[in-house]
Amino acid sequence: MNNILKEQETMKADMQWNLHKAPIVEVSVDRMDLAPGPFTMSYGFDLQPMKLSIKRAGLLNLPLLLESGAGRLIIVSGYRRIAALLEMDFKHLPARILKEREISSLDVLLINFFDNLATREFNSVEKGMALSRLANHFSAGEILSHYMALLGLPSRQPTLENYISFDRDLDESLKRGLVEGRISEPAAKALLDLMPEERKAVGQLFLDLTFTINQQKQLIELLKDISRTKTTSIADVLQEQRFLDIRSSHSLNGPQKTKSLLALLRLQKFPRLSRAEETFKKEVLRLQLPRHVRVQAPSYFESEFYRMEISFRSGKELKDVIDHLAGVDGLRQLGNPWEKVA
Amino acid sequence: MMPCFQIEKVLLEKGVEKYRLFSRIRERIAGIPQVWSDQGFVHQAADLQQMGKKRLHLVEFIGDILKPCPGTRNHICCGYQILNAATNCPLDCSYCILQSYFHESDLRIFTNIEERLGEVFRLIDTDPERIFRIGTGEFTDSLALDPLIGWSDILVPGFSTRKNAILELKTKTTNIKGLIALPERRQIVVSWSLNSPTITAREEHGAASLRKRLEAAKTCQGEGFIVGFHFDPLIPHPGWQDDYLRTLDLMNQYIDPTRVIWISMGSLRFMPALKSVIEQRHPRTMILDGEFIPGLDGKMRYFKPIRMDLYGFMREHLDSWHTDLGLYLCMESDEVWRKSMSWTPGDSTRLSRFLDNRVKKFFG
Repeated sequence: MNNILKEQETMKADMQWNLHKAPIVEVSVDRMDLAPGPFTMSYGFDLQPMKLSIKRAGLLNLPLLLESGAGRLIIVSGYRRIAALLEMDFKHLPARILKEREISSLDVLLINFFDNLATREFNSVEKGMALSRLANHFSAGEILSHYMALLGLPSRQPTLENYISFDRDLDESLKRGLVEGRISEPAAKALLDLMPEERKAVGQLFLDLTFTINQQKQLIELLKDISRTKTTSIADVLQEQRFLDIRSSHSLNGPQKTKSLLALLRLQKFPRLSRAEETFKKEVLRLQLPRHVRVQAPSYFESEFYRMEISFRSGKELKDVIDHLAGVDGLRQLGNPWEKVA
Repeated sequence: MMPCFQIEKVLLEKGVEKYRLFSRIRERIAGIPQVWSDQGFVHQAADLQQMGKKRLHLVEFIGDILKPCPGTRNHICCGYQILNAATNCPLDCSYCILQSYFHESDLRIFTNIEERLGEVFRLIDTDPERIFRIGTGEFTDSLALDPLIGWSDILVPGFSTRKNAILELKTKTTNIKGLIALPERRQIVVSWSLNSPTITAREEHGAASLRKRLEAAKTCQGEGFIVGFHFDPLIPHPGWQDDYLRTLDLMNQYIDPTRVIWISMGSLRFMPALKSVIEQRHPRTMILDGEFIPGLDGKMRYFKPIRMDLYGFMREHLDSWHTDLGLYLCMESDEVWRKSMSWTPGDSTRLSRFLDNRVKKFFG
């Protein structure tokens, strides 16, 4: 933390602008560019707490605006405050005004960056926005050395590229999914490797159904493998009737649809393994083993050794189970299901 | 004879000029742009596509000159030892593990190899009862850069006089001119990696065609060398049985099976991190199409019965060509050995012994 503070101090010392010189003016919202613009880095926030705060305590910190040569006002900091005020139907609001000719755009950006950094956590898209905007002014090396750690990120080029892509390449719905946790960060990174059309199709699937982080990763890997083998696009794979049927099914709930979808893809990618697993499962069921006995195949049948687990309350119960098992027809044939399927 | 691979730049670290290898190749690299550094080269994040395959980097090697093959747990290993002559390879096989194995790219040539060979020979000489099977083909192709570097001149004479060691030069090229110009034949195994014609053509970029490799092997046999072959990685693909049979037909045309010391087989396996490298560098590859599962050593491998099918098929047909080819599996489990080869050495020690006996049989 000390290093971070020192870093901030060094960078602020480089800044020539004294913020207190900026006059406070009552401005009309009509003069303001309300799009996020080149300086703001707020995304996916909840306005309710801000509205409540303004309602109860007033506007404690004034937004900072940059007046362009043409007289338009661009938001530097206070994007959330302005959004809350707009929702509360304010037509005029007080703000500090910077003049474009008096301050460099880099200094303006850094004012907002450090203002945000000091007061809140950034979500993944916001980190991407910050880095993307910093990349307009600094080299990758400078960002890696000075800014990644401030955002709690490792100073690695691929990480920097990924976050910038979150801002620049993910469409609105995927950004929202990422911020809301419906798309995991690793999955978002994997989506960036896909063609835009494929990214959209897979992303939509994540938004429509419920996936765990692992399932998202698995889905993307399976789709990439299958589309490569079939030399078709991922979007085309997902358009196959059997996938559409699962997605539109009324008898399956969200998690069940996810599971069915993955099972179907897995069957395509791993036909022999899937058949072996299925055969083994059926064999075990057919044995009708006692309730407290579990038989497990080795992972992917790679080892030779299967496991049987017996839960029991007494030696007598154990003995009974063992006696019972000794008489189970078919126990001798258990194992190596891949030898029994073509 | 294949041309020597195109080298566009030579990076030289200060100090390499004092080694004999540098004097040997000084004239051969004279026409190539050279860059000297007195503090080593900062590792450049190499262009993923190029991987420094056209950049020769002459360095002094300071690690262990001889290293046991990095066998993995739960698998039977042949006990081969790697002589560190170079790292990385000018060939560009899509399945190559070297794509993600070394931190540093470039064709790194260890210029002090000649000076350090003494360590290897002392080790061999102090343990005369032990057979040392040593090769340079694990971290690079043994002969791809031979016309430029002259490894055969450097390595062959010393090994050739030692009865308890063999040097295996493993290649996918036809660069045998330097080798056959030498008078030595004893204790040298020249071996070729083979695959099906489809895999060779589609996935082994920059390597010689199958026929050319086997022609070179035939020439070597004719010149009195003992040869070996390595079907590694075996890769199932549409029509793989017929395709691999075509390779065996070619072997039958060119090779005298009685002068083959061993034929190894292994199926495609890789650390999970290699997959994305392959996807990026070889987007049209077919090698990732199989049913890969995480093996007991953490590497991705084909589902066990697929591996058994591959080995069983190859064993059956190789056996019908000749019954004494020294067939063995590379990094497989006891179960896979038993079920696909119909025998098993049981453990790495006994596989080593089996291969040592092959050495004794061929070199006395």
